[in-house]
Amino acid sequence: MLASVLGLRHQKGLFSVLQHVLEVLQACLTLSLGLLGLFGPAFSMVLVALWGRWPLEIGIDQLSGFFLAVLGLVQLATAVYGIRYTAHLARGQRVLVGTLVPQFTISMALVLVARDAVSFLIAWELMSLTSFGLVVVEHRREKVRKASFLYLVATHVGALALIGLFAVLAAHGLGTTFAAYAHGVPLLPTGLRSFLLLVGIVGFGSKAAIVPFHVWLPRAHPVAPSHVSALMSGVMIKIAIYGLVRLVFGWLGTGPLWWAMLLIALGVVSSLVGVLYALMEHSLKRLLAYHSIENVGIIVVGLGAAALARSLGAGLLYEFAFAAALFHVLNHAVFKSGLFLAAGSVREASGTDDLEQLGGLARSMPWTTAAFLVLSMAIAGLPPFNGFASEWMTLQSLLRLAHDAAPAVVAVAALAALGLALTGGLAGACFVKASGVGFLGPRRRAGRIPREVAWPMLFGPLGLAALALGLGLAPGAIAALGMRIAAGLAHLLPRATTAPLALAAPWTRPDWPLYLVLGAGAAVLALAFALRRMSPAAVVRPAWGCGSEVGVKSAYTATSFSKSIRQIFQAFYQPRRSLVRVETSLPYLPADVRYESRVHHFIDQRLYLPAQRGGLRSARFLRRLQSGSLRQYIGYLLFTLLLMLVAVGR
Amino acid sequence: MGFVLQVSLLIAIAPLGQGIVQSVKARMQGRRGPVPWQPYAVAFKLLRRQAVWPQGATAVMRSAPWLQFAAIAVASLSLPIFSAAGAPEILLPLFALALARFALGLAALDTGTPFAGLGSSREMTVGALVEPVLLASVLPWVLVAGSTGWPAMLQASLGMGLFSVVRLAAFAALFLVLVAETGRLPVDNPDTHLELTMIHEAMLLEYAGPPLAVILWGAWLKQIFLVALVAALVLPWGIGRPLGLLWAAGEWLALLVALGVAESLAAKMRYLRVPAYLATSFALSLSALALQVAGAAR
Repeated sequence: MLASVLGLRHQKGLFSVLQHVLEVLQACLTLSLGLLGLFGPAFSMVLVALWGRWPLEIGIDQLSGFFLAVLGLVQLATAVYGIRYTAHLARGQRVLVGTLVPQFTISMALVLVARDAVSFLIAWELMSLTSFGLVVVEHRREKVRKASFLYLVATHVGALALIGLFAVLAAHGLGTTFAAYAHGVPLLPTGLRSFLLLVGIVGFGSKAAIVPFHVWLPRAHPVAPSHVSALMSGVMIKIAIYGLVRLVFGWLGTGPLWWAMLLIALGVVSSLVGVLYALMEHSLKRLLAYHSIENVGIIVVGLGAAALARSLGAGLLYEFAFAAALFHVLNHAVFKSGLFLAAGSVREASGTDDLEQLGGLARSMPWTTAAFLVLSMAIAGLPPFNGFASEWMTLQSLLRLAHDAAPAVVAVAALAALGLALTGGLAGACFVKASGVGFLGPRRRAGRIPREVAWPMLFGPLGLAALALGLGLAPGAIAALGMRIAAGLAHLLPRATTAPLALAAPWTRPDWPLYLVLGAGAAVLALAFALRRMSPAAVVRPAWGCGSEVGVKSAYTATSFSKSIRQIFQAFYQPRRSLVRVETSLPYLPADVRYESRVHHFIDQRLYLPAQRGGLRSARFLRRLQSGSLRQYIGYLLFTLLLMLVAVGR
Repeated sequence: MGFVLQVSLLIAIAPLGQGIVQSVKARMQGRRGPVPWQPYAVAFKLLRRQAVWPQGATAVMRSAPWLQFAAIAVASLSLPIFSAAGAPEILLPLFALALARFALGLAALDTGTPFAGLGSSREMTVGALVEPVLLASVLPWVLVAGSTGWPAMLQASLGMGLFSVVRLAAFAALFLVLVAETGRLPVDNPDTHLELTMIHEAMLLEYAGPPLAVILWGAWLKQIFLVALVAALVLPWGIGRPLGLLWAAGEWLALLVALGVAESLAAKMRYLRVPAYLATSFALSLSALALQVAGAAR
């Protein structure tokens, strides 16, 4: 089955119906492979043994199956979307995108099915390189080149950490297969396992864009073509989460409490930093990219809660928190890829994704707007959509952890819960801004009225919006599935941790409040219908603007909408603003006023800028060695040879 | 069936709650003021009027009143009024209130007028800050109970001493949030239409007729819901007892009068000072939490 997926790669390059059909087919295959992994028995097989020593092994189990299914789902939406979307690209870009997208998706599937370090790293590198190729598609713009370079550096720092991780494992006689890790790693000393965790957080965290390894994401994701952004934000960062889950829950085993607390702290910081910067963005795609950081943070909080519960020996709570994290993986894939696709449609139809230039799309692009609104409510964690279900589960696990625990655990869990609540509130504000300023209100730019996109570009966003509602209304199935996967992973542990835990009945059933939502909704609709006839028919009149005409100039912009948040969180943003007045002869009537405001990205400024300067300075220093004289270089060679001989001869 | 009765009761008395607060305020100002059932007359007057929609407004603005009302009705379903056994847990209502706020914030931007935009921006900002503060103020009970389910939380509240420091600190925190969430002084001023002071009202300026009635009724419902929530958490002795509803009604009345008095004594705070106000409530909740943890550890 996998072979047939792989076989499709050779069909690419010719642009025809065939290619799109194959892409859709490939997505369906990935999806069914994932379902097979989820509901069928786990299996693995050795493809080939390199030099008789390192087997290249592939296989699927429930965990891989879950992520494969997520991948297949998003892939299906993006593949259909690509039918029309790629037609708008320039010819050279079309070739590049058409060739790289299938390779990118296959490499992600390969990472998920790899069952040994060597094939995992090969697939990982393939995933990084193909996605780099997709980010750099519009390479004629300097901004894109810079973003791609940053992405390349970040992804290779991560890969370096992963190679180091697997090298350490091999050095301790654990070989390269995942099966050996699952049995061997828990027996290693705690200090070494802690080191492995930290290396893993750097390696996987730099791909998942956990703060402070996030700087590349808001630059790189938005510059790719929109359906690729959907794949990258929707799935690729989840592949890194898969790696983290495999490492922490599959191999490292039960660890000290601070592991879990570190994960929770990283998650909360990521979610807050992500949403705070998202609020300041007025480019729709960059705003969405920042929200990916926020949602990865929520996922990591869930994983941290699961790790904490496992360290405390609370088996059922571990399964519940783990299920919350996995559920949020699926949910984020659903709403974020849908939002990116809708943003791509907006960009396609109106030529920009700058919120300050959009507005009024609800009237000309009703379907895209409807999808965007539903998905916005889902990502803001509002009932009855899917984001609510997983955020509710994550909050529940944190609150339950804080019961009858040591003060340190209470403090961490309670603060994390409050951090998530703040994140949720800010995300709500941010999506009111994004959909309110971008899609509703007056049109902010004169010119051609954007037209609704064709059906292939509606299929993805609308389908994913329907899925967001469906998953929100029936979250119980996914929650149960996540708990089963968690239990499966705990089997690999030497110590049985699934001790029975007395639980209050409601909170293991995340779906039950939603029936209330439906009931009340129906009641209110009936009421609305009954009240319709009490008053005369409604009329439409111009809006009130204090006597002056209401128009584009007076409408709230994205920047003004988030102004008070910018002021309240001054210490974080350190905003700078400049006000330039172009004066005329009349002192109080300037010809033009230009207002500009920027926020300070302190992680970029304090952490990466000094590192970059240091790197350049040391490079300048080393350049002194490069005199350009041939004799000097031969001298270096001989000197090195001498040193090596001394070292070897000893 | 109990749920249906409960939500119907709260919807029915919501305008009366608003009327009581307004009467108290009028008395405090030395006026006779309107009768307590004046809000019913206001609502029915609006229901008979013609709805006027601003040009260019979409289905978002037209459906927002109902969405807001439904969300708050869902929230008020999950309260222990007659009994705790069947009542759902406490996180859902908090999320439902966020949904109501989202709906109105979006509808305000749909009108495209600067006033509504201003109201939306302010409401969403204050809302984002209120959410963690509201969660923090119920945390002491959640943590003692080990569950967000009402039966366990009521047990926990009954188990604490009547004048225990945890209960008092948490009550103070809850009351401060109550003032903020019902859009009262010093956070918001419900009586003016002046752009310098208003938050919630600014979002509604373009609404008229029946939709406005639905929004107002929804806001009153939210007020009585929050009052009932505070009463159930802080003094749950009446729940599930014969004549318990009378006891609860007495508590609600006391809280509504307290709201009116507190609002009469407060001066409007600068909008950008609101975070400091909310931080007071947050600090109170955290101290209640810390006291609880310290008490449990001892």
